Order: sequence, then C-alpha cells, then structure tokens
Amino acid sequence: MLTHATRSPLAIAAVAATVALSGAACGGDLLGNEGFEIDCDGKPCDWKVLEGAPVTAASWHDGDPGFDLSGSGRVVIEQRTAPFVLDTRELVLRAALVRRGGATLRLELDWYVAGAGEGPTYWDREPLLVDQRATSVDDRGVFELEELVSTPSLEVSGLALRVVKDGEGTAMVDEVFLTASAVTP
Amino acid sequence: MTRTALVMVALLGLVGTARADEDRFTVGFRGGAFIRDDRGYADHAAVFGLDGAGLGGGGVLEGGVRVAPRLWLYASWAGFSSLATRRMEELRVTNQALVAQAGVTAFRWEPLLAGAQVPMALRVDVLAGGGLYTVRDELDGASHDASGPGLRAGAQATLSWRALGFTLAYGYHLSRASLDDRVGGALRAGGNEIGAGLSFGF
Repeated sequence: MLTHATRSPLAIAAVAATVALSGAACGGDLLGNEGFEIDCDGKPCDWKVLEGAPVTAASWHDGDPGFDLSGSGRVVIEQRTAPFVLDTRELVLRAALVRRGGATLRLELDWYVAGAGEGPTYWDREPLLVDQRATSVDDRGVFELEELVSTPSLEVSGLALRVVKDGEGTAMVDEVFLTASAVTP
Repeated sequence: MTRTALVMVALLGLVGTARADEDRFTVGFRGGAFIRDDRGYADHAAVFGLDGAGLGGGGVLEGGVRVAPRLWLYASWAGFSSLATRRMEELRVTNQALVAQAGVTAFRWEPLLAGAQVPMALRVDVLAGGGLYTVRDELDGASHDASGPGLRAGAQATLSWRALGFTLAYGYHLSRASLDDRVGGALRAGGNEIGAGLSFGF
C-alpha cells in the first residue's frame, strides 16, 4: 500500500528561515533547502539545474525527496548562497549520496567576495570569483559523504556549490550541508 | 533430527509431574525492545538523517494454558514501534506479531524454607510457534506495509510469589514479510525480542 500527502511548504520554510537566521558564523548551515523538501512550483527551491535533466524524485524512501541524477551523461545542479560571514576557514561538507555503476560524482565549490557593481542582489553586484575548489567522491553504494573543506579566506561571502555527475549509472543526492567545523583556523 | 526433538518435547510435557496447586493459566505483559532484522533499510535511513529504524520499543501481551503437566499453549500479541526524526519529518516503523506457541517447562524450582514449602517458584519455559507478522513504515505521508507468516522460538524465566510473577524473556522471530526501500535495502518483520514484565498465574 502506498499513500502520499503533501507537506506545508510554509511550515518548512519557517523552520529553514529560523535555522538560517542562527548564522553561519555560529556554526549554522550555509546552505538552504538541504533536503530538497521545500518546493517552489514543483522544483526544489534554491537549487538550479545547469546541465542535464535530473529528476526531483523520492530518494531512499517514497516520503523523502532528493535529486536523482541517474542515467547517462553529465548532470549538474547548483545552489548559490550569499551573503554570509564566516569565523572559520574550515568547513564540513556533508551529503547523503548513492553512487552505483559507472557514475562519477564531484562536488565543486566556487568562493566569491562581494562585488562593487549595482543591483538588487549579491549576484547582480558582480561578485569576484576568488577560488574554485572541488572534491571527488570515491565511495560507492549508499553512504554519507563527510569532507573537510576550506575557504580561500575569511573574506569570502558568496558560494556556488555544484554537484556534478558524469558517466552512466545510479546517482542520487540528498541532505547536503555545509557547516563550520570544530577545527579552528 | 526434528522428529527426535519433537518426541523429546512431547515426552517432557506428558511425562513430567505437576503439583496440584501449580498454575493452570497465566497472563502477562512484558515491555521490551525489538532489534529488527535489518537488510540495509535502517542503515540507509541513517545515511539520510533518520537514525534508529532498526530498534523498536514496545511490549508483548501473552496468555497461556497448561494442557499437560509441563506443556503449555500460549497466544500472544507483540507490538513494537520506533520513531526517527529529522527537522520536521518523522519516520515511524511499527511491527506486530500475533503468535500461537507451545511451551515446555524445562525447569521448575520451588524452595523449601526450614522444611516447609514457600509460595515461591522459579520456572523456565522454552517456547516455539508461529503466526502472522506485519511491518509498516510511514515518512511524511508516504507509507508501506507488508505482512506474512513467521515463526518464533524463545525462552522465558519466571520468578513468582504466589500468583504474581516477574518474567524475563527472549524470542527470535523469523519472518520474510519485508519493507523494501528504493535503494536496495530491506527491513523484515522478524528480529530479536527481549523483554521483562509481570505475569499472573491462577
């Protein structure tokens, strides 16, 4: 038997906003909609598809949405987040991943500082790309990725995080977090 | 081998002796834990932030009647549930079993104090039987369930004072009723049950 009921996006957004307001500098999460639960017109809010045609579908369970990147060819999804203030350069990147067959997964982090341009949003004001850093996923199966990553400096205030899948096989991503680590700079 | 074991159990049940004032009926309730037969489901749930699906808490209601000096027939209902939370989501897993069992009193000890019988007894029973098993999960409105036959084998020790007894029990449940997740994991309705509770004999 299978039933499904919709959740209230407003209620989830309220919780997400509360979490976001706690601030990255206090050890909070830099990203939004980490579990792909917040829905914006049938697509997960805050995430953008750059290449390919991933499916927003159930991940490990019918009641748990995630991004299914399976199939052949390249798929890229991205979330941009800004502005934020960091008090540490070391961060922990966590994600629930499924990787099987010939699929490869790579997580890319583009770090920005604020630009001097004009515009209503951080990204409209021409932020400067400071550094591009990436981590390749070696594990296979169903697993939690936990990687220590670092920012190029404490001045960064913008991030574009991309999940890149190449090859043919099963690949899913869910529960993506980027938080301050316990390590001090 | 199986036939020999059955004959042994039958002989134990029929040949043993029972005191005239031994209990004829027993009812009891045990609370305890159920370690589910996990084939990857609970591990996958934990990876996705929902930890604890492999272990349930709950209880067993059981009634028994002694049909021969050492031979009992039992009927029981067992229900166990677990709740894993993540932000606003809850993964609830429940498993239930309705089981009929035969039990043999393998050991019974009634102490004497200054040569007089005291109204206290220690009894150890071994049980085996089968019944109907169900397992169900629910996450954010999406639910699955499965049911099917299963077997239980176990042992329980009861220390009683007059009609009231304290029971420690262990049971292994074997059932192929299974919840399958979307990435190759499964959670079966069977597993290891441990519990402790009270029983009343009369």
